[in-house]
Amino acid sequence: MSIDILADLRAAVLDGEPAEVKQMAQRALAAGLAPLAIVQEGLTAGIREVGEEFQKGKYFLPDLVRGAHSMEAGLEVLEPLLAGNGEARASLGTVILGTVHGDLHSIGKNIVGALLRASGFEVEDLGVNVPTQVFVEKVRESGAGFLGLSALLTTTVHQQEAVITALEDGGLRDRVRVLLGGAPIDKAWADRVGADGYAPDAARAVRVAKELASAS
Amino acid sequence: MRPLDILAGEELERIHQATLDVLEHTGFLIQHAATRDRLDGIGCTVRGDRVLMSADLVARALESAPSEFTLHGRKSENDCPLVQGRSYALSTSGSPFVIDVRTGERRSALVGDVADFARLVDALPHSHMVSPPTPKDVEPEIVSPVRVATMLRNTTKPMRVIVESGVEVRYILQVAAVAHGGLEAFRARPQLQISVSPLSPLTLSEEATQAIVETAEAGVPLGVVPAPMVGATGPMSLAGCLVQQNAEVLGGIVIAQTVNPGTPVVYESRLTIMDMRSGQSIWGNPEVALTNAAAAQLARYYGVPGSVTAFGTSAKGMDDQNGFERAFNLLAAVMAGASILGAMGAGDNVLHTSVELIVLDDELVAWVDKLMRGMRVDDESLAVTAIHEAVMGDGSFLALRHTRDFLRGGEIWTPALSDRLNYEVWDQEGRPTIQQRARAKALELLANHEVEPLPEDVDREIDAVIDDARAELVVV
Repeated sequence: MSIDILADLRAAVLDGEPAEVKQMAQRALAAGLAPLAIVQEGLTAGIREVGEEFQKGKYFLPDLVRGAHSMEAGLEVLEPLLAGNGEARASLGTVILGTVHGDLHSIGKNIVGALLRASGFEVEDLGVNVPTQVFVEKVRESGAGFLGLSALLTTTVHQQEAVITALEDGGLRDRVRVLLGGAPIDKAWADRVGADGYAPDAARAVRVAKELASAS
Repeated sequence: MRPLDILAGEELERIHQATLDVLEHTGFLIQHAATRDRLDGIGCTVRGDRVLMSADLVARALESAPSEFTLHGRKSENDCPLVQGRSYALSTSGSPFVIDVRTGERRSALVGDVADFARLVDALPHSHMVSPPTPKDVEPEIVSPVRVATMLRNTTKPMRVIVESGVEVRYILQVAAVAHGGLEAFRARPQLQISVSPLSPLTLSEEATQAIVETAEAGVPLGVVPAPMVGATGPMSLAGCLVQQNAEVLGGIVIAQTVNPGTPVVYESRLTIMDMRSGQSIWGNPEVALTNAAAAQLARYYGVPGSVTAFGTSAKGMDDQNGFERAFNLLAAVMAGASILGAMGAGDNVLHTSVELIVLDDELVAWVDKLMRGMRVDDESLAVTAIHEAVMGDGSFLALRHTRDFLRGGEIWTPALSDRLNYEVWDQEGRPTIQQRARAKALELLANHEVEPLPEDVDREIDAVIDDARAELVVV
């Protein structure tokens, strides 16, 4: 019976149904399963399958994002219990994410955020039109290892450079890996402004973050 | 030729009604208090930042928008009257990259490229309007005034620029006024269309709203240019995404007509799909051709000039995909009666522009232009007498006066670049490709085409305006 619940939970993550996942997580708890086991064998295993389906070309971005939201819905139920037991989910690190000042575009950043969460990163999303100083303060306070800066407008990409400069001025540049994204961005730009990483799409952004995480 | 209606009458009506439904019940998120207040004052319902617009208000706005107006050249021979049955080609706007004509490699766009594209469009016979890339070698705060100044110096044809804020509009208008001998003179013969992009879904930032307001207040032609991505920032269904885009355009038109009734507006469709593997916005697909054609039809239905991306492709190189995607896109746009055919010279989903592609697109425009002129059908062209003459004579039409007259009358299109050689000659000449010819022509025109310079004092005054803009806007 308990094995069935976990299989159903995996299937619900694979189907991308957040409300169902939440219910099943509660059912699993009620059946007496350990929170960490539900996370690992239900949610994490489910999201891994989602990733595999994407790699195989059977799943697309909406499936990934819905899968990630499903996992988060389950974690909402389970995470408080993990902390209480002194157990913690393995995290690859924390990513501060935001769209730079003057730019209101959110879709690319949101996809990257969902995929990073699904891949085991903690994500702190500061939203859009984020002033440079807010990024800097967040890096200072949080001790996050990664900072992801999104820009879509050709006139706002310069703000990515401004944030990196402000981090240098604040003596914080060495504390954080800076990743850049956005349609007008290329590797030459990322190199020129002194970023640590760049990716042309969301799936590759996760790969770059993982590489940097394992290198550090 | 009569424009093609891609939507049946009932389908068009349902899209229109659904649009009114969205505007009335979901409304437009307008992050500009003064505009919300203004709309509140004329009967809109304001809920927080959302403005709900009634069908009646939309109808009145469309009524006051002119159905025809002219984008002027510096010389009147380059005027583009936006009237039913005429289409004009416009170079790509806002691409961050160019393909360097000398190295063939992609690099960031520079102010020099803005000048090159403007001069190239000026030189080419079937290229009618200039839009600039976004150069990296100028401060982003003043990139729009600098682009307008650079275009004014390098073309005598009409131009279009996309702006992001009202303060840019103010300096752009100053630059244009200087070039035209005062704001009144510029307004009487506007050489510039200013476009503003709502953020999909249904959002206008404070800056973008101000840009619409400032442009409308000046009475300068305004383009409303949303760019929803199917499945990402707009619905996954094509009809649904058209509804949303339509609401975004009409919402912008309502604001402009409320500020200044009679403001000339262009209905601009930049609807794309999101590639569901990479997240990229895709411009070369059949869905874009289809929605462009539908948007052009909607613009005709509303009686305002319509503009679409007619040269979209996802191809990076100069290959068959590049050719067929842009050709099909163009054909759909032209047949549907779009007034402005955008994205000339664009590759890689409008992320880069190339001079070779501008030259090739000039040839494509000539091709479809000939197609759309249709064929002459009258007593002379039906050629009963000529057929009789030939059959009774030596069986050939070559020597007939009818043949000579129709040839001289332009019955057959003569390409500037396309290959019509026979195989042996083509082989002996080293198997030249159209890309090589396009490149050679681009280099030749860039080396030799001269645009009549602006008077020296005007040039100096433009620099002074740019200096003022830099002093006010650039954060050091």
